[in-house]
Amino acid sequence: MIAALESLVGRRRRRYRELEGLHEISQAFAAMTDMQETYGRLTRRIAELIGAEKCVISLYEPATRELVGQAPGYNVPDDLIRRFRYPVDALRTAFNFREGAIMVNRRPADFDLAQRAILEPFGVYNLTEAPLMLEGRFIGKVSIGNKPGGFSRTDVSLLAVFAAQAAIAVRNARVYTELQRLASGLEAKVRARTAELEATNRELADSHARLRELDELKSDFLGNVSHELRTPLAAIKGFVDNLLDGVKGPLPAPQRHYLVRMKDNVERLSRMVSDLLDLTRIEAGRIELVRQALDPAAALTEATEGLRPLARARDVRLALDVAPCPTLWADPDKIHQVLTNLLSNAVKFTPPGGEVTLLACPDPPDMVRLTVRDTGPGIPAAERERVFDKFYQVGRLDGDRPSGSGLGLTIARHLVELHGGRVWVEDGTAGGSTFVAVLPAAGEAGM
Amino acid sequence: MLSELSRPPGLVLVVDDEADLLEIVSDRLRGEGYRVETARDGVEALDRVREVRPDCIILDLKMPRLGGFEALAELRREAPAAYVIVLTGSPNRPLAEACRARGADDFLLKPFDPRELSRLTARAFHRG
Repeated sequence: MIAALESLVGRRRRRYRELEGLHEISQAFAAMTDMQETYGRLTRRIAELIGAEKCVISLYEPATRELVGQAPGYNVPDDLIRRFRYPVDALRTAFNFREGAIMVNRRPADFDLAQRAILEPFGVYNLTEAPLMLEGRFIGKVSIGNKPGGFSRTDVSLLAVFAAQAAIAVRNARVYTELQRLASGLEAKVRARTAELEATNRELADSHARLRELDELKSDFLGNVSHELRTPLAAIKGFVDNLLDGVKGPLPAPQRHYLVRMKDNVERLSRMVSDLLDLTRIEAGRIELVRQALDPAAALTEATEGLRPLARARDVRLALDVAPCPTLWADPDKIHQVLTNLLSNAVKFTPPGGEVTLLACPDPPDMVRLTVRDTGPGIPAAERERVFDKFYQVGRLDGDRPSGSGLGLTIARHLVELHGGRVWVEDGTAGGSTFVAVLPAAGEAGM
Repeated sequence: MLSELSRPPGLVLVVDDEADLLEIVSDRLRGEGYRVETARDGVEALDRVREVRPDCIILDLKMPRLGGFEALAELRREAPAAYVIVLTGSPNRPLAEACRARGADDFLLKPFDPRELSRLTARAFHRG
């Protein structure tokens, strides 16, 4: 009775240890990611649990149809395992090997000469093998050898369970190895690409620095040229002014007429030089806005006052129509330049007796609309965008040659856009043309 | 010549390194009846100031040897009563304030407007 009970308890304990071992194996194997480590631990665990002396895992390589030993095994030299590489077909013949079948408890005596030649180096006296199956596919086998007294049925079923776990562990390790290979490939690619990008960045930085240098040179050059051009122009203008003002005595009318023409041309040349310089500075991004809250009514009034002499000379009336408006967030000097350019254009293209109207009104939600409307001939639809092009001159009604640089509207558009605004030409309601500039209101920034 | 006799004997020192500008300004001021002396840089200006005691100095800022900005304080010491008008091509507030701190009374923009030159010079002689 007691003996029977002890035997039962002993079996239970063994069974418990087996289960514990299995659980440990399945946990460890599922987490295993390194191929070498996987084979080493798998074979040791299996051998220990079943009480076999040796254990080796071999995998099937579909490309060559070979079964290939995987080092390390348990109690089998690595070099032996590495040399183990046999065509499945040969094994099938030699061992009556069948994929998926378990081969139990064979003793060397059971093997023929050819078989012994394979097994001898391993020093095996008995052998049990179970296939590694994954989703119904044969991927290899696990072989255990040398259990004193032979393998029991329990050993065989344990081996079957191990084989199932081992198949998963092998799959995991393979996937992990493949992932690592891909990852390191990816890493190498990323490194290479990063190096390329860094090289490109360095090149860009270099060429950027060179461009900056060139830009500064160009800017200095322009500054010098501007000074060099302005100085003689100022001298010519000064001498002509002195003569016209009678500093050197009274002038006969024909000479005075010539001098007046000279003065007009010198002034035009001065304007062109300064427009050209402005445009170059704008295009080089060297214009900085000094923004402040600016009353649109004041800006329009100031621009109008500047243009009054020209308007009077051409018999053009200037009218101002300012609705209650938010203040602008703008550079007063630049806005003055914009308005002066738009206004002088309007005045020049308006026939005597005509009118130029300036309007200001809110452009919700956060812009202010400034409008310059004239009663001139208007601009054909096809030319409305082109008037903002550099050096574009609309033909004038009275046949006068253009008196400006052909840059005024280009500069105006650049300056408005620098403020984050827009400028365009609209159809005049009663003929003529209407230039509209929309500029940002001060909002909270200007408060 | 007549106008020169009819006016108070105002003496203006014009300091500029550009011969053309010097001639234009001098001729114009003489035409308006002032006596005019000239200098081509700050060093010359200081020499002239010690000799002639001008009532008004029209001073360019950028000149070789000694610029107007550098010469300002010393010119001011030599001629404390003179009205100093600074000629500048690039007006800006910090520069204007620095010039005022060194003794400048007024500014004339380059390229100058002849009427503005007349107005400022006249103001120099009708102070207080």
